[in-house]
Amino acid sequence: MRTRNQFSISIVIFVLAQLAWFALLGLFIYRFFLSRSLASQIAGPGSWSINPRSTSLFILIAGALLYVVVSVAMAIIFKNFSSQLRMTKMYDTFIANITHELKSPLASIRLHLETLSYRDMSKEQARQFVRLMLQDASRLDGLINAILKISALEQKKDVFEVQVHRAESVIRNTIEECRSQFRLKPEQLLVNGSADVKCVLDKNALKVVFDNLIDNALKYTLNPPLIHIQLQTTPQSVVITFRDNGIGLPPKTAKKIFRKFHRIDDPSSPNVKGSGLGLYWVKEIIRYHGGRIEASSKGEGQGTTFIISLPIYEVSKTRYLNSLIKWTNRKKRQQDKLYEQTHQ
Amino acid sequence: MNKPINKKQAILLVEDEDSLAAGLEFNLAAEGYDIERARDGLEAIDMFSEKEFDLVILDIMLPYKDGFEVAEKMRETEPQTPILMLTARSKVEDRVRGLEVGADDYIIKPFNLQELLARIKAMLRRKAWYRQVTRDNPIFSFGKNRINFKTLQCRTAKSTFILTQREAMLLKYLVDHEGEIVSRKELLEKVWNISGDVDTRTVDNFIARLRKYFELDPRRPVHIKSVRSAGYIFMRKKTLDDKTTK
Repeated sequence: MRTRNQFSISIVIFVLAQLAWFALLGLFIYRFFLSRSLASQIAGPGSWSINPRSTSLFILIAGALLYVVVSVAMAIIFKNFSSQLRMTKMYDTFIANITHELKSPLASIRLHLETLSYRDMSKEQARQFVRLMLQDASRLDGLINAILKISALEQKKDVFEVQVHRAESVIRNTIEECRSQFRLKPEQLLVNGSADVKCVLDKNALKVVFDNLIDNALKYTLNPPLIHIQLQTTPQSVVITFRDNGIGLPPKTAKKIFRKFHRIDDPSSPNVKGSGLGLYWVKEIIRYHGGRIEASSKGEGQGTTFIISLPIYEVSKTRYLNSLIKWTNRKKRQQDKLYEQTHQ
Repeated sequence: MNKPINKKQAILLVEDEDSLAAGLEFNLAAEGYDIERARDGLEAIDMFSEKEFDLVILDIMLPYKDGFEVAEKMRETEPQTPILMLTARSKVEDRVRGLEVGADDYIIKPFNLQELLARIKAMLRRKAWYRQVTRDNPIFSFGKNRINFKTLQCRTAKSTFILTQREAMLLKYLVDHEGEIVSRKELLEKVWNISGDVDTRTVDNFIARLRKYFELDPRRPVHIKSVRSAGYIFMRKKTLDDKTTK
């Protein structure tokens, strides 16, 4: 949405610049005829001449100014246009990826259902197929939810329910949930440090962040996974350092990985599947909470480090209270409306 | 053909999705096939080079090496093993590319189980047919070319090389119908086992390749000729009435 707005603004600038250009041209022609008629009045027809210096200086300055304005506008338009093109291209790969991500679990569910209906099998075997189908169904559900939530977030709808939490306990509990979900052994996922402060957070969103980071760490690794999470506090924020032993990142891609629909385009990668939404979603969540996330890597094969900083309660208090007031007001308006409707 | 008759046919399943692979393994085992599974492109190539399989089921989106690369590698070492591509991509270009790198058939996810099993059966039957027809008299010569349909080795005036399975099957089909006009559609149906919407340019590309191999002047073919708006015709001997053909 933001890029579209920028795009229309630059078109407006361009149109205004054209109008100014035409207006100036008109003015110049008007001046020319005015001075011509003045000259012929004073000195008689045929004997007039224009002082070349004053007019050309005016034209030169105005022309140069317009030239600069027009070229800046053109540059902005061109930049926007190329980013639009890039978005379209990425959107195409996104559609291809998402098709794959949706069709794969669907294919497997269908296969298991057909197997169950055509073949005789033991109860244990049937249960195994049902378990696999449930896994596939929750994979589909997760993907669809991510798409819907991201689109809601982009339309500035409220998708998070923030509350004040003790940072350490909520972070550690979330990590524990992930540990059992991804079936990681204690020595594969280590949590150190402390963060004895309060934080304004949406617990479910925090879970999405860790889900995505851990899922990536497991997908992009050649070795048995090893994840190290370090908690720290600064006067302003809680800092979570997430380090994995994966294949790492080339320095150039460290920023790109948070872009929407971005996928690492490398057929020799250990993971070639995904929607290109995961880390974008993570970044948007962190940004919503007023925090920052950065990725870095010492190089390929050296693992990746994500540093997340989230503001502590004292820092985000005003924002939080404002959002609470807004929320209460909206609820109240809704209730009033409902009251009016029922009592009409 | 050296195998004992009662031996189970071996299938290599290359699929990285555990859930789908579990279902396929169960069904193929129930059909009486001997099945082994590879989880990524590299493992697939390794397993393929170690053991002889009767058929390969190959996913396209694979870690380390994608299905197209895997198919190409497999074709280099073992041109005769049929490959069935399994894919969630439904774009025509992907399908054509799959066929061109050496897949014999493809099926799009989500698929129907009965259809998949039927196609596997048909592919194995075709392979058996090809073995049968080429076993007794595998060597065929025309012009200055000599082809062994069993080993797929060729010797032409220009060089010695190995045909791909698909090229060999196409040539075999043309040779078997020597002197008859064969349409592109017929070739797609009989050699590629495809009916319907696939571009007939695939056939033209393969014909162009065969001409490059076997014709002295590929632009003025004397053995594999085009018949305007009808298809192709194979002539073992050089004919004089070149006016009827292009």
